Amino acid sequence: MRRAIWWMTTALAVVAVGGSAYAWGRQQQLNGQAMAAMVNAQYDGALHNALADMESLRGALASAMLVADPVSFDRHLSDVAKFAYAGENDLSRLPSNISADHNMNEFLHTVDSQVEHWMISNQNPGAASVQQALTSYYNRAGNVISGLERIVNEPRTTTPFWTDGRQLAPAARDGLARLEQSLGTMVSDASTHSSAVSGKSKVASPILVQSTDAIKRVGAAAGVDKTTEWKAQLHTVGENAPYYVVSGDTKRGSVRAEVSATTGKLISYHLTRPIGVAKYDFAQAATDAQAWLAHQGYHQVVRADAGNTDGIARFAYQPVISGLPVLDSSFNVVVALDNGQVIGFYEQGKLPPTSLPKVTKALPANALRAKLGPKFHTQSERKVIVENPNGNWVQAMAYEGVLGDEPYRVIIDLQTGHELRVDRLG
Amino acid sequence: MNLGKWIAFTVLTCALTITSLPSQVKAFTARNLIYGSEGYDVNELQGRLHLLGYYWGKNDGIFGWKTYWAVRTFQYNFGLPVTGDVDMATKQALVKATPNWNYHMDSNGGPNMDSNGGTNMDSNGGTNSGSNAGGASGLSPATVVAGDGFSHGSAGLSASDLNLMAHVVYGEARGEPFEGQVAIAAVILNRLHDPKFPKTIPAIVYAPGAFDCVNDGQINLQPNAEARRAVADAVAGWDPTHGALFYFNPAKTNNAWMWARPEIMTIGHHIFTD
Repeated sequence: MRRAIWWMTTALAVVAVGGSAYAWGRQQQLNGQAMAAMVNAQYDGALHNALADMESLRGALASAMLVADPVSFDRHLSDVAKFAYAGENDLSRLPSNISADHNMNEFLHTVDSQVEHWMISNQNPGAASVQQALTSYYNRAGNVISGLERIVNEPRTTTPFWTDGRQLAPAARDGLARLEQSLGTMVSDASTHSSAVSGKSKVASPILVQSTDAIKRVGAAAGVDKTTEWKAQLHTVGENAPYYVVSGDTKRGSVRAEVSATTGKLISYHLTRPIGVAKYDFAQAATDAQAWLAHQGYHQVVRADAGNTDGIARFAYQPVISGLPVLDSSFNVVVALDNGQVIGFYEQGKLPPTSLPKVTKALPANALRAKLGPKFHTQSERKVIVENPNGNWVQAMAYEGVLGDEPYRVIIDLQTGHELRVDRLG
Repeated sequence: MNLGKWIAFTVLTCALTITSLPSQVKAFTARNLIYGSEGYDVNELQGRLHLLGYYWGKNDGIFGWKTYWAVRTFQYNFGLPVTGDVDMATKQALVKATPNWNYHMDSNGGPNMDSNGGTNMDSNGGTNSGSNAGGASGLSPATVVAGDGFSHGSAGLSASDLNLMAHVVYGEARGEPFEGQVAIAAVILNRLHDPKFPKTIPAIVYAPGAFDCVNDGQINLQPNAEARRAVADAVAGWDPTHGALFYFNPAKTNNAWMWARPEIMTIGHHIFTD
């Protein structure tokens, strides 16, 4: 009798524990399925939105090709830019690790940039180059739509189409990869619009500088004579290639710098050392940074920005060409505020022009000021050199002031009167 | 009785002396002030310029654009060289033009008072004082970190963009050499400038599958000062990857197309590719 009770109790305990474990496991499984279903729904939503926006984009491209009236043309271009941007946002919500190509994004980005450029420059709707580009975009948009439709129309089953919560399903992965490959790159359209996204050349230049000279160059920047233990390693791949990475130790810390193997110019410089309590004068640090730049051969510069982080001051200097600052190019100098030592130097933006960009006929000052909105209160105005949407250096007028309580800078092309960009300051 | 009168007279004299002290000791220090300076020297500068009607912004002790323009206007009107920098001549002219100014005239009652009524403390525990040469603690108008994050944007990026980048750097590369941390931030910036990728930092970071730290939640860890410095250096132009758009840890990935990408360089545990 006692043994029977013991067995029954044990059996009941096993059933209770097993049942609880099953219930808990089942609950976890349902939670996982619910999460996976939610993720799948979001991916499906992004895909359908991308398809809808792509169809709208194709429609807007068609409309732009169908009219010759500049006002209507601009309106349709505005629609094209809007749908291209929306399409980019939709795509950014889809899994991005299926392919390194990202051709759809590049296509939409190119369309967006190109129509923006046409709108700024009041492009003639009937121009052959415009019609050719629009036709190309129209056809490509059609390809994208076909590819997206194939994925949208892929039969769905109870099995999640996109992901089971852990990894991307083969059907979705292959569908997107096929679409990316079928679209191809935008290289063929590169002639219609020179992108201004990067000023650093990717074409490898010849090696004209010896490693010993590169080490000497960095030693001079660091103020160190004894560099016999320093090393220079040549790199021939990547932007600014070929270049040397120079490394070595000084009494104050370890140096890592990059020197162009073609021009011998310092590309970057970084001294790693502990940073002590900040006690060095900030304004003096700015003066020291400019003197250091002059020592490196950059004499014509103007301070454009300043700030500090954790006892480290950073100053940005813009090169000055014939008295005008180049806004889209800067030399950044990092100064440790414990003793005022320069611990970093980096170039930023495009290489500045070698001479002043020419202006055949500048607009009068009043005409340029008339381009500003009535609520913008100008505090200062000055001539500058900036890059226009075509990637060319131009002279422009920079108006700095406030809108309400916020500081802004408006840059207007001196010759065309087109607003090149608006920067929010500070 | 005489002793009592003497004590009362002494106390009264001391009290009068103490109440008259602020306008004498809270004067400019010897240091020059430029865009980016901070501390109660800048509070005084803003207060005096406000009294004269040149400065209309907040008296926050930060030498920003509005202070810069106010200084330039003051220099122009008082026949000084228009530089926007506050040197001894500008300070003297300013003090002479505002002989009756004192901190109590400013709405916030003096140098950067916090909610507890004390002066703002920097990360080292010191106060943001005018004698703290360079005002190297706390806020400044450019790339700035206050406590646990960037408080101002830089180079066209907002403070939230910079903070998000710092989270990614910390989540992806804490423990890597500093150069490797800068490299992660540089990859994000390279993607921002590449037409194949989304146009904003959040869209790049949160693109599904783009960063492991987003998938495993490590992006939510609080970044340290080193991660923020790495972001600041990348934003300033340091790109140790020389244009890389991707990176991977060879010990943790078997993704075929990632391995097939042309390698640019290896930094720490990461291979950076085109």
